[in-house]
Amino acid sequence: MSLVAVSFIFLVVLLCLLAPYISPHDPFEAVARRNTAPLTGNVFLGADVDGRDILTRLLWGGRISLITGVIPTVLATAVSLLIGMSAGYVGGWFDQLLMRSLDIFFAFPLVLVAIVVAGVLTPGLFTVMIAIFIALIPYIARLVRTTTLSVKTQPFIEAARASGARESVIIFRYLLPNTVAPVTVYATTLIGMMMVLGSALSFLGLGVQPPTADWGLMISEGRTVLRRAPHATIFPGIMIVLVALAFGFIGDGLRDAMDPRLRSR
Amino acid sequence: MACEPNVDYGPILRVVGLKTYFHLRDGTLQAVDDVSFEVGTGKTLCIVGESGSGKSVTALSIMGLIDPPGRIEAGGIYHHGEDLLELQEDELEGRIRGNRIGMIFQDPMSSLNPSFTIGDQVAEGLVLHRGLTRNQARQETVDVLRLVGIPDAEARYDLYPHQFSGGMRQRAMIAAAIICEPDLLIADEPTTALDVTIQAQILRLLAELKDKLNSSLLMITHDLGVVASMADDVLVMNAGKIVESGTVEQMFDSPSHPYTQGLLNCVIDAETQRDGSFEVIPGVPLVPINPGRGCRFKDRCTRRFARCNREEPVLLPIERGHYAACHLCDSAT
Repeated sequence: MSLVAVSFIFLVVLLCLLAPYISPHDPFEAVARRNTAPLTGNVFLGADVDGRDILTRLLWGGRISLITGVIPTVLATAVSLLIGMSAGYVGGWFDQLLMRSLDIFFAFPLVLVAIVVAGVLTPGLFTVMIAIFIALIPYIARLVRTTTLSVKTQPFIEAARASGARESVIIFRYLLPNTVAPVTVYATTLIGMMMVLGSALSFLGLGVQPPTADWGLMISEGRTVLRRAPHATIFPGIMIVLVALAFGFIGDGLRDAMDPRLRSR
Repeated sequence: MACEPNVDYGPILRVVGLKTYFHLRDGTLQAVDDVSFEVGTGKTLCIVGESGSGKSVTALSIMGLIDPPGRIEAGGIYHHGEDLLELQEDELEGRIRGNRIGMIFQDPMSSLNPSFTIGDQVAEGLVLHRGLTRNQARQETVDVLRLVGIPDAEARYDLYPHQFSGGMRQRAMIAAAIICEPDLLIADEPTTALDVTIQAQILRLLAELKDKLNSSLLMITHDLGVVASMADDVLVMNAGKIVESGTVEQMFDSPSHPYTQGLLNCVIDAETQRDGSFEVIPGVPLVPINPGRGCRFKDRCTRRFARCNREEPVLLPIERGHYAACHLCDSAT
């Protein structure tokens, strides 16, 4: 299943990268009558409320949606590893200070934090990424910290110290590899969710601005004509769901692959 | 600098007046309280006692692996005459741990890093202490894996710990501990987590390796069968104190402390005890937090008398090389 998911993501990424060469139309220009139904004339998936080709906009919009999902999650994971591992490893008041500060973010729903950040900055792609990045850190850092705490007390850490391993060796060869695996799995499943969040922010008008193509934005624009032209909403919706699902499956597959106990020879 | 080994036949390790306390919220836990002993060159010393008697903390103190809230309050740990307690952390890491003193842990299931191959971990000592790369260390590591009795060592080098059985993992742990040919091996209940049949194999391996490497062995155990088959000298601990010490013959032939006698009575004999009549030492071990006056064994001792409540017994010689900390033995002399 995860192999299918990887292939699917790969295909989507490839198609989105090739958008300038393979898209049938210009993403910003009206090429058909408003709300043209799919499979009519020159528009395979129909046209939106402004008469723009939906297939073209899906290809271009995928770029934005993938970026808003992947980049903030990767960056947030890196920062969270730093925060969570140092909190968990050092412990004491340092741990309390870091984690209690992050707990403040937990008082608000993830979406709300993102909305506040996006609202403070000017709307745009960069803002969406910053918002998701900041909103994600408490969640991942918390997982990193608990994982670090449990790995830290494993007997193999003591055994490593008894064999004369320096602190840096302990951290990078013993703590980090055993912490990264579960965190990577978690982060992968988050990518899909963050694409949805990014789309939600664009839908709310806090993210990417029209006329830029973005899956969330396309849904937002399509909802005004939902009854007359449901395809304008359905196709980007399907893409978001499929890609988010695929990342979820990849996360599951990674968990199996990265757990050495399950690793087959 | 360390002396030349084997020039004098003095002790390879001498522990003097070691006190390791843990400062807990409820008070100070005197996990190891004024413990002194020696491990002679080429000898095996077994430390015996129940859980919580301070055996493992003694071993960790020697390795310098006591973490807060624990602290070594007093004493000296002399390895070839050099006081390890005077050394800086980086000297202990670079020169002593895993290099001159190797340690084997109790639970082979969780004492190996699940994320790296067996070979990588066994080779760690060579990488850390001799500055070899893993590739350079490979052949030597395979040789050591073979030495500890891992069949098909070349292929098993690249396997992960979860692909090894418990006995094989313990062999790998031993390989990692001896790879730098330490002159002292500390084994903390190395067979507790293993099947009985595997236990015997591991014990024999340890004895063989000790001779082959010309090193000494400090073995921590609660299994008197292990003591009988391995030890030259024995140390019995209870609640952080040494209650009796002597050669293995002295311990088994004329145990003097009621606790040692009790321990020996607890040994289950497959022949005579099929009727289910087990001997037990009544009560639970004293947790030495603010232990108060008197003997630390008094609440469990069947032969307690007035003096035991007032006065803490000290280690006194009974015969040459045989010491016990009991008022009964004191009045006998």
